[in-house]
Amino acid sequence: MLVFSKSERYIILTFLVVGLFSAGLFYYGKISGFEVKTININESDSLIDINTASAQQLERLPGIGPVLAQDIVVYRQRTGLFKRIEELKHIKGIGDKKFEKIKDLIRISE
Amino acid sequence: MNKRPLAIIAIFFILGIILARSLPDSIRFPLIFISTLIFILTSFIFSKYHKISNILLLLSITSFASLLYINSHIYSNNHISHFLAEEKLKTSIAGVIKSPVLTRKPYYGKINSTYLFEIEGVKVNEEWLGLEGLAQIRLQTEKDYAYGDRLLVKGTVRRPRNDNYYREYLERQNIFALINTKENYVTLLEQGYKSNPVLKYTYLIRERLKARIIEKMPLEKGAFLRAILMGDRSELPKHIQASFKNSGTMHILAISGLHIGLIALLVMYLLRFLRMPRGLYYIFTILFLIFFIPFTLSRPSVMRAVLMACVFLVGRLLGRGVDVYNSLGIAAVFILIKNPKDLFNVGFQLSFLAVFSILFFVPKFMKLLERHTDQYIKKYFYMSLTVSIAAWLGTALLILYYFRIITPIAIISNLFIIPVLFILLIGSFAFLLLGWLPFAGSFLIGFNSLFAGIIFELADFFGSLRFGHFYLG
Repeated sequence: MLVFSKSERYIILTFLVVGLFSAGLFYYGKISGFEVKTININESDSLIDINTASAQQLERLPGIGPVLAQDIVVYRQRTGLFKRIEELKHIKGIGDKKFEKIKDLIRISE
Repeated sequence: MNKRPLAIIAIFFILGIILARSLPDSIRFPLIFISTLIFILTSFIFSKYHKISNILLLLSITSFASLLYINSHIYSNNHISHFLAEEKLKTSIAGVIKSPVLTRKPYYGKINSTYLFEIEGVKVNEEWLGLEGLAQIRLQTEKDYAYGDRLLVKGTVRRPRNDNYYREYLERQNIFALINTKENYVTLLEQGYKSNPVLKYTYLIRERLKARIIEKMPLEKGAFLRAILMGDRSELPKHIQASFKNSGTMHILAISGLHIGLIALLVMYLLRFLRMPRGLYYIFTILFLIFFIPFTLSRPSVMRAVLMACVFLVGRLLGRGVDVYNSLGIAAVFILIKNPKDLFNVGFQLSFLAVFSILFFVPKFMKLLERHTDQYIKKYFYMSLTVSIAAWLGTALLILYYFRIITPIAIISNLFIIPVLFILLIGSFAFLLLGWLPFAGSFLIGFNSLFAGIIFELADFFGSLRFGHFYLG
């Protein structure tokens, strides 16, 4: 039952040779290359700029609803642009706890 | 000469993987590589001596399969698996969504969606490390992300827990990390990032059709349709899944040969009806079936069924008979070359065992019943019965081992449920094609709801029969 013809054998062996060397190259690539390198991800693109963000964008921040988002925009218009992110705590409704939640998600434009 | 070379190759290939799994860790890739090379070379050298050459060839196949299995467990230095401990790490992760939404369900009162996520970098000690590897990302959001969306997320990342072999289950799919985050902590950096256009559009079509089912069909029946058409049973209620499990018809929720066979038939008849030349409609059917693999997220049972159907159709196209064991062998080898770890996937095992058992037992049973199959109706009945018995015989022990349940009722329940499923599948495909039409759409919603309802009732009835199923242990 377990008999291959000569031509079948040659075809299978050829496939095996190709497969074996491909697997070898793949293995070599995995053990020799792909060192851990540092990469550059521009995180500031992902942070919400509290000086330019609209109320809708500010609502994406945890704990900031439509009312508080509008308060931030109004504060910005009245007192000028934020110089430090901590200034957010001057707005009623943003205490230390809420600020801790959002401080890593915001930035101020330079 | 042997008529089933591919089936034999598959058997020795499988043996090689099993062997590699039981080898001690000290047996390394170079050793297996050299032994495979020696087997191949000696098989060439001794090619005049058929027996020796054949034995060496089979050893080469076994050894090569072991090599692939060992290789599938070697990860480069920048692989995510080297950077995660048991405790979760709170950090920022950059990566790309690589699937449509996999599951969407409530979790502690909030909707959670999961996706496959290819990691690009992780922030460790204020530095972004370029890493690679797949993760499953769970987002607390109802918002849809798409294949190719490049995201920056802040959340937790950890190795999957090892409860109930969950880690092993995910690692077999090359998923090594679980990321948890909320919508507010996700930033979309880019869309269509390094995306394959074929996959992109296939997933887009899948999501559109899924949205149509969600919008138009009643909740539970729509979830059932999504299971049988797309292999997505994440929203099918637990009590309905339990009825299918207890009635031994859980397999209908996994897309398999039944679905693929029906799709192939429908496409072929449609193209024939459009008077397309024979060669062309075979080619179009094959292409359509290949498209169906990513559409159902490339599950092993779908790949097995599509590959077998394609081999059969190519054989017909070339005017050659195709041995079914050979086509089963091709499907197994193809899937295992792609991912040797799939051999230990329950879906793979059940799918191949059920088909093998049907191919092996049904002709023998039918020969025994030869005298009783003079009429078409009788023949159809006995054929259905023997297929049901054969599939049950082939999978019962495995189901007992994995799910601790034995379901003798499956032999009867499948006889009733499969024909109804067949009608429902026709209605479902018609709904996907024509569901947007005002009158036909409403008719098909009613039609599909009726037949899905009948299947629920039947599964519930057979699942609740006394002595129909037994839980062990």
